[in-house]
Amino acid sequence: MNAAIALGLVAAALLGLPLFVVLATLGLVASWRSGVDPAVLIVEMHDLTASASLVAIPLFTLVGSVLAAGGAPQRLVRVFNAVLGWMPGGLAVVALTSCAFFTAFSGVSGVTILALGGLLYPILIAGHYPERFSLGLVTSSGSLGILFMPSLPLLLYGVVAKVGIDQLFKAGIVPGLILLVLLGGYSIFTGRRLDVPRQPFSWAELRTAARTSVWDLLLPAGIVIGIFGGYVTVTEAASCAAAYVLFVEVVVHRTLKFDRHLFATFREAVVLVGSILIILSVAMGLTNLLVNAQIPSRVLAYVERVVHSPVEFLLLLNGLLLVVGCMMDVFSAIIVVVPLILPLAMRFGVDPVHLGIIFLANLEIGYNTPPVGLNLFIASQRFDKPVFVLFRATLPFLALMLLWLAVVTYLPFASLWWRGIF
Amino acid sequence: MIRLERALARIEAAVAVAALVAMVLLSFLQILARNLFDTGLPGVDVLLRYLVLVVSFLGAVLAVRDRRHIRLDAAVGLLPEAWKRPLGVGFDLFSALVCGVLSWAAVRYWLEAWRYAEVGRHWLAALSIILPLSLGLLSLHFLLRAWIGAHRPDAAE
Repeated sequence: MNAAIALGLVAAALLGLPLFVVLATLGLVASWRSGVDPAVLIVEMHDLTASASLVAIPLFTLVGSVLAAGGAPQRLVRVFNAVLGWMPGGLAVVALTSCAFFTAFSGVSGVTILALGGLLYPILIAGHYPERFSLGLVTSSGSLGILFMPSLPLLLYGVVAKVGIDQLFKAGIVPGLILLVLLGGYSIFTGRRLDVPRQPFSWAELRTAARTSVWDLLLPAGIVIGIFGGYVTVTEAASCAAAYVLFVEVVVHRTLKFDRHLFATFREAVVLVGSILIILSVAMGLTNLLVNAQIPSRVLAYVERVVHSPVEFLLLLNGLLLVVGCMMDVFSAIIVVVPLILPLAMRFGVDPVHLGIIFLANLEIGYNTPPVGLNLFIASQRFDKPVFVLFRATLPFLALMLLWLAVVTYLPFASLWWRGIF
Repeated sequence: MIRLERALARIEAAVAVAALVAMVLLSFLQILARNLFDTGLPGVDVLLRYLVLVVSFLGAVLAVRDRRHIRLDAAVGLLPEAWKRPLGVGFDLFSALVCGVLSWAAVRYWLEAWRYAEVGRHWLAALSIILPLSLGLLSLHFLLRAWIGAHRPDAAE
């Protein structure tokens, strides 16, 4: 009976039943089977209000929507191009940096491909980069930056795993930079090898570009200093960032006015937050019921029998998460899988902050993994190329990212170096 | 039905956006009050957390009409084209049922919370009405979607 219900729901999920309905149904069935009032699910939903850091999620989402609507992607590409465009493979490095920067604020890689990829791909082609390299680059860049503060997946992991979000912000920086350097190095190498024409460096262009984007660049600087320096909490940083970007776009750049467009920008943020947090709210009730039914401890007992060392555990974890990453989007994966994995990781001595970084790194790669990685499909739609072409185009990037994953997973120091310093 | 859906969505969007605007303003005022005048505004922190509920649940309601709910749908491509519409209608009806059951549970929870609220905390209990209300709206919107999907497939997308 239980198995039949579970199988039916998995099938329905794969055929497109909204995930929150799937989880809510599981929750209702679980409460009915254990003879508990379904109101416990509502109690858990209501307990969302107990989490103070949750307030940061809508605010940072709004920051991303306002920046996107206010033309920040164009300004960023311009300034990074003025700074980095002269290098061999310069344009490719520009693409990587702008995508990482933008994803950190928008947090959803699909949006990065749509907003920035559409802008960068024609520029790369015009700059004589080969088509396959350019496609691979913009597709894989769609999930870069997920480890940089204040990305939504980091925030959500902090809420779900009950880990300090400022700690996650600190932990993500070095692993994120390593990936940026790896992919940047590959781009420079490709630019050299294929002798892609370079553009001259211009002080005049740098000055103009810097003037238009200085406000955007101050934002991450402010967040880093505010949180690392301990001047503000994460929620306060989110509030200041929201007020700041609204001020910049409405008063300084005047790209947004008090009209329908601004309303639509807010509405966009509301729908995005709603579609993520409704899953979180039903999943919390379900998790609670699962804990009562001692499911996590049974899984733990099973895994303890099969797995004997932390390294073995991490290998298994990487494998499992790569599969999860190409089936689920990063938000649902965090909400559904983290509560199950966390007790296991603690048992094998994996730090919860480090686990968060491993988790997100895996999901970031899952986005680009054939056959079902989400980025591949979004890019296929956006650039009107068959998915198979994108598989091939992203392969070299995928290989580098797997190498990076190994570094991030097996060198906890890269994520936790700041302990005892800050 | 299409007009009803549109009208409802307008109101819901207006309330949700107002809640988000209030979040930005209140949280920012709170920071100013703390740093400039050394006093927190009473109740604002709790109010902010409830506004998160308003924003997220109304956002989820709007996501029904926008078709923005997160789905895994890895196997949809395998379906014959002719099955997709009836399946979509069926899923909408099922979602309406599930949300309906949840909202019934939420109504009972809310009544209890109201009855046993401590003196001076009734405003919080009143704010919690967002849960039964938005779960009910979710159910209603899924029903509307099912009707539109079945009768006006041209307008469903």
